[in-house]
Amino acid sequence: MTIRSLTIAALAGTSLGLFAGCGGGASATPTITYKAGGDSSKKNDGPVTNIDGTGVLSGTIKLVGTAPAPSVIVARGAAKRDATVCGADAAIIDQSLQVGPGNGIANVFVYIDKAPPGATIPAAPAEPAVFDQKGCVFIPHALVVRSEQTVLIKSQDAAGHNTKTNPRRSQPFDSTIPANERGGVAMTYNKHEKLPFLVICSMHTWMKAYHLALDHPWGTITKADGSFELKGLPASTLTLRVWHEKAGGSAGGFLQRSLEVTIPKDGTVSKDLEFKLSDFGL
Amino acid sequence: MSRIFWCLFFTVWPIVAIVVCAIAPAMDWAFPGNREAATPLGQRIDDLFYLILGIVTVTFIATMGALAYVLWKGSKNEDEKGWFSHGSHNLEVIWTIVPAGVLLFIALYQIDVWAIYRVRAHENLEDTARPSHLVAEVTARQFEWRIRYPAPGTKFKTYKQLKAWLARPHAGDIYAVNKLFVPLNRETLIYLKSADVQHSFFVPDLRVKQDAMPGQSIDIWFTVNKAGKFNLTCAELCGWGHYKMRGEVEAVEDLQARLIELKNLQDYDGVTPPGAAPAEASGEATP
Amino acid sequence: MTPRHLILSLTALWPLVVGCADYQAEFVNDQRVEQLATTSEIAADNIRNGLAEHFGSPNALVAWDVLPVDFGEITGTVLSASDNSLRVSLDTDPPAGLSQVAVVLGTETPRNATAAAYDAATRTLTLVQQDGDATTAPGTSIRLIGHNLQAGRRLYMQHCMHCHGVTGDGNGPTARYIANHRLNPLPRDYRRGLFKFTSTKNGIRASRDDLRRTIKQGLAGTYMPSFLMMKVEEVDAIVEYIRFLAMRGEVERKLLDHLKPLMPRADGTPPGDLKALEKELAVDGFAEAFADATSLVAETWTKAEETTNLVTPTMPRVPDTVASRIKGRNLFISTKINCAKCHGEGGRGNGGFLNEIQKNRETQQNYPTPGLRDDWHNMIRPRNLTADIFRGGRRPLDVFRRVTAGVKATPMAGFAALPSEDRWHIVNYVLSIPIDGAFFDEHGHQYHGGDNPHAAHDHSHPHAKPADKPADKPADKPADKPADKPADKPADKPATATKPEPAKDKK
Repeated sequence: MTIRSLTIAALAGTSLGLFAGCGGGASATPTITYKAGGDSSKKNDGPVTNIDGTGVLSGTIKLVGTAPAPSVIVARGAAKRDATVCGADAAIIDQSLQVGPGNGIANVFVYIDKAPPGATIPAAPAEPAVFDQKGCVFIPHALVVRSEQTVLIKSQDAAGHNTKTNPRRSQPFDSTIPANERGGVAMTYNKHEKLPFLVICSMHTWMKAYHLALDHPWGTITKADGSFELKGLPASTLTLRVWHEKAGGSAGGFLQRSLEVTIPKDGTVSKDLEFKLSDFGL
Repeated sequence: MSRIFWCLFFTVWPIVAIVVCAIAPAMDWAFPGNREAATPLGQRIDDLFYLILGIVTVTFIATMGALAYVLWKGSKNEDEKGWFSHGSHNLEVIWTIVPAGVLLFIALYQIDVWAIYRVRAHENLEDTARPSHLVAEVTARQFEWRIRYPAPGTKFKTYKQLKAWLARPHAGDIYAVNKLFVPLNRETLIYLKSADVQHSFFVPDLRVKQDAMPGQSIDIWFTVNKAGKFNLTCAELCGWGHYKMRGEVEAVEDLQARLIELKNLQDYDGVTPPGAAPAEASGEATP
Repeated sequence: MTPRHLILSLTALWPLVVGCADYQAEFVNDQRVEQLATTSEIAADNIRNGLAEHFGSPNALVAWDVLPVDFGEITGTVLSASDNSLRVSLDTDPPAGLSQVAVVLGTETPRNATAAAYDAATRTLTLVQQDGDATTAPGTSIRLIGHNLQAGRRLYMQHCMHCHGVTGDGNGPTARYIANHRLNPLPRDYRRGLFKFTSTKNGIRASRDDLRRTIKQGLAGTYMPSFLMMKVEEVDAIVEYIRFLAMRGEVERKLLDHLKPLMPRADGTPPGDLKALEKELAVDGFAEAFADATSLVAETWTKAEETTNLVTPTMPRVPDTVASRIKGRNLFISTKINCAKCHGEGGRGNGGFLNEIQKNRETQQNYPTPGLRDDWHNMIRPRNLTADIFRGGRRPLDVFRRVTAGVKATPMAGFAALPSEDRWHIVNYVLSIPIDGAFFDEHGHQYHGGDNPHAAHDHSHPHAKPADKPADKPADKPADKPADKPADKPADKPATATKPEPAKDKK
């Protein structure tokens, strides 16, 4: 092998290398495959029989053990933002686990995910739901509304707030609520939500609330003493979900993913549930 | 046999070169802008080029012809040995002095064009007439050309006013990107800035090229005497997008009308149609 | 032959190897799919397969007609057919070099095929493969689908992919150089379907016009350049492909959300009752969740095109007078809407908010460092309004849209509840800041702040002129001043009927 033939071979190899990178990549023309329509998501379970009659579900949700005292998020008068309005009269405390005197847990969502087929769903109420804020705290902390029901976001504070909702399926809302907005900024959740979601204020980052928008009326939250009541439930076997913002310790989850209940026609069923501190990551 | 081959080889290629050169204008392989620059100065630059091309062509034909003759003559005679020459002093003097003279001639001939383009353009900026030629401030940035025009009807009477305008945004300024309007048959001044790295404002059809240096504001002068749209490209490697840093320079009869159109679009408030007078004067009193 | 020659010639062959990394474009799935695979292989496979089946890969795309994307369709009828070659009469002329598009034959029982090539002279379509029976009766309707998506994909890979990534995740090869410039926004990650500068209302996707505008005009002050010289058809094709990528990303995101209970816990352990959850979510309920995700995504993108979802002012712009700007200024610094908390008293984008630790809006955990962040968890700064850069456009309409609907995916929220007139006052003020300054003194003069508490002006001139004259252009007077010195405007004497609030910090 002489130097000359080696050089020629190297030159040939180099110039070949220039072309080796061609093909594929940016200039290639992709093949297109056509796919028609959506797959039908509705399972045909056969003819649907109307559910006759309604019943009531009531109960309590309690905590086993002693809950820790809620921490102070913003000490009185110590707010970094709008201190004359936020936390001016009282400190702002953490509302993520509110336990009443009888160990009842407040603000637990109890609801049916999907309305059972054959149930008659009453229309959404014409009256708007009110979501207020005072002293830079949302009132109420947990809210169940009907999708398509108007929600009026109001404010009793002399500072502007910026309410931001994070629904999974509905159109989100993110707008400023001017100070002392008593008329309310109207918004709706236009879709059924399967899970409660967070509502925050972008300006005052400690402010939190949880909303749930359902396309049927069978969802509620527990009161301060942990009691709840769902009226007008279709008289059949239902799967309920029990959700709390501190379940599992962090961003909320199911305390009980499915709670099977049979609702008797014109009757009342009672369910009392108890959860341990470990269910809240404590 | 191989001598004839090399003889032909070295004769053919120069002939190909001359043929290609001769047909280049017809095949549009020559200067951009259909062989004619769109600015008077550009035309003078082209003339210089042709001058040099002419001189070089004559030299080329002469030397290649001599080479071909020598090769051909030598290829005929297999047995003659090459004779050793001690060089010719006269020949050496001739072919030093003549090219030197030609080069000197070219150097002196082009001084005027260079002076106009690179020296006199930047002189006498305090002359009251000159600042009034400002058309736009062009800021080159990766990978686009950001343009700012003064408000329609603005006349800069002093260089100081011009500098003040360049320093800061002013009410009525019109902003555009990648598309630059310049007036036809009027001396045009563009101030070139760079927002990040070195770029180069290159409009081939106008024979205008000026590097944009970060931190500097450089004046570019030209007069466009042909209407039309001209490619604006970046001629200084500025990053991965350098190749697509394209813009357009358009020479228009009535620049003010175009600027007023742009201004109306820029003032669009979503309700009043662009160009319709708003309810009350909204503050651009044209001087 | 010495070793030196051997080494030299071998090194000369290295370009062969380098060039061999033939760049195979592939869509990259979200990293959470890998995480999911550690607990539930079924779920991860379902996502991967579902996306591959319904969206394809960059070299083999799927035109799924559920998506509101203009794939490019040419209709026609079959004149005659023989084997794999059809003579067709097409209603519109296909683009030159048409190849590899999808073919749908017939309407009653459509059959799918792929077209290899189309010869315009003989009007012959050569098919490369057909489903079912190969005989096609004359008169059968034929649809050629996908040429626009092909064009979009090609142009996207050529012009956009290097920053925005093959999957549209903002992670292309050149994106990391932008990341080095800390405060410059990174290339858009399309997979959330969120675009910042839009003309649509809050909660609505970007319209095609918005995307076109961004491509044509660029985003001033960012690394998104203007593609003004690109042809309109090319820009449209790219817009469709971007929407396609965004929809793919959104469907993936919704599926991951649906399968979230299957993700490993923070400490890495699988969730409790994994098997039951897997059956419910990844096996039984997956198809429904997929269809639901797609229909939601399709709906949001369709809604974005409706003109009712545009932010349009209901009244023309309030005249840009000093009085209006003063009103705008007062609104800007008031606690009612708190503009100055982010944008700063002087509009420099250095408001008090920047020194606070913000919360991640999804997980509600604190971010490690103070400052504002966008929905992609990247640090951003509020606009420095003195810089004369308006990324979303500097028309009064654009600024009005920012003030009304905010900037999507950022902490800049809209103030739709504010009356239109007030919003126009803010617009007038904001547009005047880069030119005249952010502060107003007690005489209603705007200035840029700095050491002087008010603009230096000639006190000997009487404040007699009643009309609210706007600031005169400086072209007529010596206006030779650096940015920090107050402006000298002897002719500017507005009425002092509307006294501005003193431009001092109000706490």
